[in-house]
Formats: sequence, C-alpha cells, structure tokens
Amino acid sequence: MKRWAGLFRFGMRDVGTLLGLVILCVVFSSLTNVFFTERNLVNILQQSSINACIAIGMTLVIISGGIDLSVGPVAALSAVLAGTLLVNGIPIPLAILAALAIGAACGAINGGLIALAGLQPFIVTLGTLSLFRSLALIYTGGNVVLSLPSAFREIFSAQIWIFPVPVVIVAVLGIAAAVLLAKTPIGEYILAVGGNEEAARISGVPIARTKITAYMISGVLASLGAVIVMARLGAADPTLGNLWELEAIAASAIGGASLMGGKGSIAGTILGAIVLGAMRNGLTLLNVQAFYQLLATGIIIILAMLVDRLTRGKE
Amino acid sequence: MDEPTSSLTPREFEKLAELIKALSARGVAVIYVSHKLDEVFRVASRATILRDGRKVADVDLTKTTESQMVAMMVGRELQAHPHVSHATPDVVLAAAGLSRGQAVRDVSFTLHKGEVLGIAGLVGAGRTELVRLIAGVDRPDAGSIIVNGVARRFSSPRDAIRNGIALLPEERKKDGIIPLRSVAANVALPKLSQLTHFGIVRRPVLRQTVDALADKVSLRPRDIDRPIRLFSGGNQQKAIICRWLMAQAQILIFDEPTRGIDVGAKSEIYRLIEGLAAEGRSIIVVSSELPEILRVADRVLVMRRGEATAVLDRSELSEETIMRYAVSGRTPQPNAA
Repeated sequence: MKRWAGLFRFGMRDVGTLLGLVILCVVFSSLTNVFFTERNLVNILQQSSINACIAIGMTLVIISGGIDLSVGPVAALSAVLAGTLLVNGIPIPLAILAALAIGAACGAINGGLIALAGLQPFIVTLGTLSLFRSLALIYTGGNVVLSLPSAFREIFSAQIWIFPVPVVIVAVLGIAAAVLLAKTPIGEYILAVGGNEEAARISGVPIARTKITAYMISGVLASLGAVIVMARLGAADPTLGNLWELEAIAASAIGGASLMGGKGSIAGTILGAIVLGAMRNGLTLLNVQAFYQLLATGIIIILAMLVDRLTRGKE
Repeated sequence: MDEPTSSLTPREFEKLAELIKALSARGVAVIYVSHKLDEVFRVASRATILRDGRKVADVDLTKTTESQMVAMMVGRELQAHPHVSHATPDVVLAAAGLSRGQAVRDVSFTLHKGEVLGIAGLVGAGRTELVRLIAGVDRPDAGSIIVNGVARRFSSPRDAIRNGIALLPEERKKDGIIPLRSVAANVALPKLSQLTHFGIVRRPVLRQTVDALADKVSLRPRDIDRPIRLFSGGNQQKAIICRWLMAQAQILIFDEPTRGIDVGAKSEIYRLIEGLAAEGRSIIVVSSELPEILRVADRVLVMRRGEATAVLDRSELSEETIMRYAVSGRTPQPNAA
C-alpha cells in the first residue's frame, strides 16, 4: 500500500484547488438551494467531464513544456470521421477506435513537427488548429453528420450507480494519467523534459519520443472527448470543439500546471475542470447572464494564478 | 579593446594592428586586453599583468620575454599533494581526428582504464566542445570515437550513455539538474527504464540504490526526496556523480567539476574523482584551474584554438608548461625561463 501512497497524496497545491472548489460550492449553496443536490452535483461532474478529459492530455503536454492548441479541431476531425463510419453501419467499437486513431495520428503530427523538426509548440499547434479544422469542414462540406445510431448513444447515456458513463470514463482516465505521471518512466521523462530539456537530454532521456507521446495522448483524449459529445448530441459537427483548448488550458492552470513546463498535477487539473464547471452551473442556476459568466471565468483564472504566486513566494 | 580578435582571422588582425599603430601615432591612447601573447607583443609597448583579479606587474614589453610573461601570469606555488595513478595499459577510449567547425580541429587522444586525463587550455580553446562530441551531445564533422576497440557514432547522449560514457556538464543549473525534481528522480533518470516491473517504476529498489550512492558520496543534507535545486552546488555535483554511478558509466567526463563550489566541497569532489579512478573507471577532467588539473590528472591534453597542442605525462607537468602550450602552442625552451 505504501508504494501507492504518493499517487493519492494531495500536494499542497491540490489542497488549495480543492479549497477553492469548496468555497465556490458553499457560496452557491447559500445562494440557491438547487445547487447542493445530488442531481445537480452529478450534473456538474457530467458537464465538466469533457473539459476534464481534454485537460488531462493538455496537462501532460504543458508539463512537457509544450502546449496543444489543436485539441478542438482534432476532436472535430475524429467526430466527423467516426460519425460517417457509424452512419454507414460500421460496428460501434471499430468506429470509436477509428476516432481514437485519428486523434493519435494528429498528435503524432503535432509531436513530430515539434520534437523532430524543432518547431515551436504554440506555432505548430496554431497551424494544425486551422489545418485539422479545415479538413473536418472539407470532409463534410461543412454539414453536420446527423442521425447516429441509437445503440451508440445509449452506451454513453447509461449510468453506473449514480454516475453517468462519461464521468466514470474520465475518472478512470484521471487515475491512469496520474499513474503514468508518478509511476512510469515516461511520466518522469515528461517532468524532466519540461523541467530542463537540455539536462534531460544529457541524462539520456529520449526527448523526441517523450514529447511525441505527450502530444499523442492529448490527441487521443481529444478524440475521446469528441466521441462523448457525439453520443450526447447524436450528431457529429465539424465545428465541434471550438475554444476547447482555452478551457483545457484554464483547467490545467487552475490546477497548478506551469506553462513554463516541468510542473503540474492531474488531480489538480481535474479539480480545475470541476471548478470551472461548478461556476458555470451555479451562475446558470442563478440566471446570471452569459456575459457575466465569462467575466467570472476570467476572474477565477487570474485569482488562481495570484494565489499561486503569493503562496510560492513564502516557500 | 577587450579581446578584439576573438572572431578575427590572422589577416584581419594585421589590419587591426596597423590601425592601432596609426591611432597611437595620432596621440590616441589604446588599452588592449588579450590572452594572446603574440598579439600583445605585436600591438603594445607596455603591459599590465593581472592574475586572480590582482595586478601582478607592469612590464616594458621591449625588455620582457614571452616566457617571463607566462611565469608572471601563472605565478602560483604548486600545492604539494600525493598523487597516485591508477592508470592501466588498457585503452578504453580513443579519439581520432575529431573535428567540429572551428571549435575542435583534428584532435586525437587516448584514455586508459583507471586513468584521469586532464584537458587544459584557455577559455575558448575548444575543451567543452571536444568533450561534448565524446558524450554524444554534439556530432563531429569528422573523426572517430573508439570505445573499447569499437568505432562508435553517437546520435544522442543516450547512445553515449549506453556505451558507458557520461558527461557532468560545466553549467550544472543549465545542463545538469532538473531543478524541481527530487535528488532521487534526478539520480535515477538515465537508469529509469531498466528499473520497471510491468511498466511501473520499482520505487523501493530505486530508493535503496540511490540511498546507497548518496552515502558513498556523503550527500548533505542526506535527504534524497528533497528537490535538487535546494542543495548547494557541491552537493548537486555529488548527486550528478551518483546519477552516473547508478547508470554504471565507465567513462566520466567532468567539465569544470568545481566551478561555483566552495573550497571544502572541492577537495571532496577531488577525492571522489580519485576514488572512481581507483575503482577502474576512466575520467576526463576539463578545467581552467591549473592547480586542479595538477592535483587530479595522470596526463594532460592541452588545447589551443581548437587544436591539441600537447599531451603531457605526469613527469612533464607544471603550470608553466601547460600555460605555454595553452597560450603559444609552442615547445617551451627551458633556458628562456
């Protein structure tokens, strides 16, 4: 048991994120009695699950010292391809696998351009953001792929105990990613490459393989997010995933990931995604206009960074 | 003018010398800072010699020889210390005609099992560039690296590490440590992929190994879970030594091993280097500090402007001899000093 203790031991930073979430919940609960009900809390988890899924991959990329702006278009491209396969009667598992494979391929392209060609992550994924989006639009002629089979939709609308399937999937993914980061060589490599790339290289870390792996994981998780959204909507939209990258970066940052690389937490990121989800949910329950919701998101992100800076100064 | 010729060709230097002559004829005073003695003699009429931040002498260059200048630049007394060589006849590493741009030009040398080879030279002589080629950090334009009798071509440090060659870089903060990670994580990094069980790192084994190594180098504080950035320079260096012991490196290349390290930790590092050689490992020590080279090295390769100007045996070693090869590249004339 002891060897697994480190995995679930919350760092101080994670406790901070959790505290933020608790405060948020207390405030909303006092303002509306609909907020703190089992149904609404499960609802928040459900609403946060997509962003959490994307943000897990984003966190790994950010820890490796990079950024992945292309997650939304990767999701869209996977969605329209898998959607077309489903509509044409391809078995559901195959179609899902095809979607994940597209995500992996897109991630490999991002990672290859960054790690092998030595281009800057921000610029590369800004480029593929346009590229993948346009491929999705060209492939469908800009049309939404409609009427996905109901069997497909039912898989993801099922529940395990009180939790919807997407929430369970993302929870399992979160544990897997935390194990990867804390317990496997590739996790340590990701931390090392982001922490000091040249020192990692001189220490024999396979830099290119490490970076490409991080971007591929990000791509696969973007595709998985796409599959979940497709199942919920019953359609595959080539414009799906707009601004997903910013939501995911926000969740990672609130959770303590540093855009300088070398630092971040999967637990923190998932909490960060829930913070964003809970806030949106609470403000919606209070009938606050969407414009103000955006304002609140901005304030939360900046507040999290300020708290981060102040507590780090004390160390 | 502060080292004005570092990027000039000899022909361009001649033009500069003419210009300086013309300027001084017009009554302009010129201060010319250089480590190249031939240039100093060509350009200047008077010289001030500095050493360790202090003025040693003002000299009239018409009445001074190059060897007198070198003696004043070196100046230090030799520290008496016992030197024990553990070198054996077996050659573990040979470099033949290694070149990379202008920085390293046609350098050849051999390294024996149990030997400590010093690499001396002035700043910019190509010492760091040379060892980076050997450690697979940069790739040579020409020449070959022969490890235990087999020619190797390293495309990354990872390749060199597989062949038992490890680099302890000059700039620890920039090239050596992963600052936010613990000592244990920093030490285990090269060995990590061999320490897994079904893909999961075997943490107990890892910690045991790192613990034993930390004892061996007497790491202080003795806490391998502490982030490495919180350790002193000397203890960071010890941790990096642990890293390469854990990876079972047989050839360790120290680039300026005691830069930024306090005096006490310095002699600890020297003792560690001597201990590693006694265990049959082969060591290369690049250093700008001549007493350091004289203390640890069995043989010394001297470099000047990218070329190897001499390989000196222990019996031939003195600060003056090394400096002479490092500065002028010529054979010392004993009667001139």
